[in-house]
Amino acid sequence: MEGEVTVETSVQAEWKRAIAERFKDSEDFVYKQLKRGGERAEILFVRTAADWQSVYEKLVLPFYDRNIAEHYEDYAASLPNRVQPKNLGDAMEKLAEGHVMLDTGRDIHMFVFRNQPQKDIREAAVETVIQGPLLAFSAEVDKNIMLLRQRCYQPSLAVDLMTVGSRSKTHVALLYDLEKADPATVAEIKRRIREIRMPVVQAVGQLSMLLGESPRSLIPRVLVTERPDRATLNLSQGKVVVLMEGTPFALIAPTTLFDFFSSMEDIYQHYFISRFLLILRYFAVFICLTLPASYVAITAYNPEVFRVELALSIAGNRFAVPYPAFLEVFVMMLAMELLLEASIRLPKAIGSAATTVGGLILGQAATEAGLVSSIMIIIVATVAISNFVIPINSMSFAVRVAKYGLLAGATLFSLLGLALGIALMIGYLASVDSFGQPFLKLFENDDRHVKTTQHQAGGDVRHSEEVS
Amino acid sequence: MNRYFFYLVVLFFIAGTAVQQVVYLGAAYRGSLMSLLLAFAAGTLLLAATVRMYARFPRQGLPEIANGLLPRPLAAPFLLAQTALWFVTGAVPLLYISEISKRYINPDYATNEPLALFLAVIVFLVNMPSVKLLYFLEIILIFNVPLLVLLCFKSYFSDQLSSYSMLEAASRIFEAPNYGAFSAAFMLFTGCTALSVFNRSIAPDPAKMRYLPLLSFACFLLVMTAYFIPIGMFGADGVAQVNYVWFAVADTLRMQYGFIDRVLFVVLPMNILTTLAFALTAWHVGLEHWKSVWPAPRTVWGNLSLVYLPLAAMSAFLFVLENQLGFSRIARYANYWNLWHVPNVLIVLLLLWLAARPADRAAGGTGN
Repeated sequence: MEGEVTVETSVQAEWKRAIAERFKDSEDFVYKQLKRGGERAEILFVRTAADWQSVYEKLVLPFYDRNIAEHYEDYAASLPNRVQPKNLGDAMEKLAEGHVMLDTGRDIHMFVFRNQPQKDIREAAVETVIQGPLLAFSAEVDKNIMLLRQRCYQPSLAVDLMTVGSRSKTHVALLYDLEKADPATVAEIKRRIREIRMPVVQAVGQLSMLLGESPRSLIPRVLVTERPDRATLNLSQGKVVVLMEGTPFALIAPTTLFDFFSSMEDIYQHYFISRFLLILRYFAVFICLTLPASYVAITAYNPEVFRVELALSIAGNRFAVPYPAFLEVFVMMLAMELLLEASIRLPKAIGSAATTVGGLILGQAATEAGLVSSIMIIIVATVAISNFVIPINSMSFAVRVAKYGLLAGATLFSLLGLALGIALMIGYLASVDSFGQPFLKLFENDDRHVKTTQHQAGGDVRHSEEVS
Repeated sequence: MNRYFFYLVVLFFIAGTAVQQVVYLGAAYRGSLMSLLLAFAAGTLLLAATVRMYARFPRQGLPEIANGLLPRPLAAPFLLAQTALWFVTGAVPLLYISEISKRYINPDYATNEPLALFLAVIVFLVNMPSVKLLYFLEIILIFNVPLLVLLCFKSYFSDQLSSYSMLEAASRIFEAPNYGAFSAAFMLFTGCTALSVFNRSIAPDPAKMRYLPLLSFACFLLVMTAYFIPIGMFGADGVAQVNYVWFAVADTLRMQYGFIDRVLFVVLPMNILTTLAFALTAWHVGLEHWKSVWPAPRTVWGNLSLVYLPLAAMSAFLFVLENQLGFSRIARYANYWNLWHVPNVLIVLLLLWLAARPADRAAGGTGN
């Protein structure tokens, strides 16, 4: 990477030195010297952003081509995709964007050789949005870096290539924004990746556990996403993105609880719409966590909580049910979990049949047989639907499991158990860290998702001065 | 990070009102209104004084300040006394809410069951870093302040409110104040003294505290609401007969169109959560004082026992208390305990003032 001593003007040397310095943390940055006899030329480009095949054909080969070589300077100057950088900063941005810099010794040329999005990049299947970028990450690290480079034309984007797995030697790329990311966090994540001693690492979920996320912890603290736009947004917020060869998902760390409840569409929609959707989502989480528990607490212990008409109607509904409320809830929740699990594992063609059989027929029949009350069916359906509202899969699973904790609390200790269970949950979330950053903290983190990232940096700096 | 300071002050009001109310309502004909007003004045002074005092010790808690000023044989007993004070301060509302849980949620609870549940949550969470405790407080308050506002508004517009009773109580404003009622109301204003630990992690800047009068005005409104509303509902005589005033008030109110009919069941979770947060904060402050007395333990077990021994002792003490004394006697003793708040606050302020003096002199008296 070091610039070699050639006969050239000081401006060119200074530019190249500055560029090499700027990109020294990006391992996909290429700084190549071409030599032929006494002639020298230097090519600088970002491998994942530029189309290196074209670079090779249009710039490298002609340098060695006897016919062109004599007029290489003229050849370079007359290439149609040549552009003129305005200044050094512009040149750097262009490089990050996928331009190629050629120093022939006499002059500096820049060419557009942008890598076009490949045809074989698939659409997002797990985190879908209605209107927004559709592409998802692919299974190749280089291509994924390219996707991110195309979204985030910043020279400050650092790329660190590493391998994990003593046998699998899986390629892993660590990306972060040099200007935004906290160096201590980056160093910590790098250290943890280096310390991985597993023979074979195959999926980012596995990697996230190896990164120190406790396997016993219910709450995910590393975000797994398939969306390049989410990764780009998080990069711009100073987070670290880890890409892995063979997995079309990226890891994002550190995270906050709110990251798991944000959909990319929140920032693509108008303010009130996105706020409405956000509130809806948190409401859904609240419902999903507390509805079964409050059903048990209220019907079994405190029917007087509800107004008389409602309490009577629930009691009337439960009239035929021969066992206590908590058993009813457990049975129906179990049926719902089975149904969900079955519809994931089954081939798609049978999946819909299973859902129909399970959901419609079983639910209907169970009510008519008097095994569960019809209100219970409504509750189960509401819980299942609200669970699906959570945009990030890992959090959706966590909530799915956590509701049983509250259910147990309510079953054993009624409303007090429910209230204290919620307090315990909030307290636990507030007390944990994600790579040294507080995991649950109101307002400052929340706003990052909804606002554009203009003035947050100032707020964050002020915050870190005053707290912690 | 001024807003966290705000939360501490507000938390003491919300969680303390239910408990302390009983005391000053009981003294309704013995100058409690005057005591409330005096307590408000004193509390506002305390708020301003505490913020200014601690602002001279950025990033330092009371333990560091005390250890710096006093010789160890004096500092250690002082900090142990603070520990005890904070632990008991947190315990009183805890015993109260545990009694409430038995009365209003489930009479079938075993004697210690609600208390044990509260203690389990508190012991699990109390040793978290101070900053994170504040994050937790923030969330709890954000959930609960709207419920408090709902309760206030429902009660303002309730047709069971008798303005004659309230006027009768108000007309007694010039009766000589009563120290018991004064210290009970004063306790509500002691939220700012939690800075003795939280000053390490938050640094309230007095220059940025333009909202401080607003805060104390809001507190004043709350105190007045908590004084006049029960009197308006039960009469100045009747209110002394009611055991759990705040909850009785809430249970008087009805919401006509909600799923939930009785306002009590909206207010109850609020009180459970805020009391929990209050006890957690108070015990956290006590625990930090306690930790500062002893040298830092070297082993994991040393660390665990340093933290959890006092918690276990305190929990056991509360169980015994609840079993042996019964609630009414606990409430009476808790009132005696209230009397101690005023002298304690004065002692702490004196200590801060003494500690700040040399610093001011060195800085050429530039402190504000």
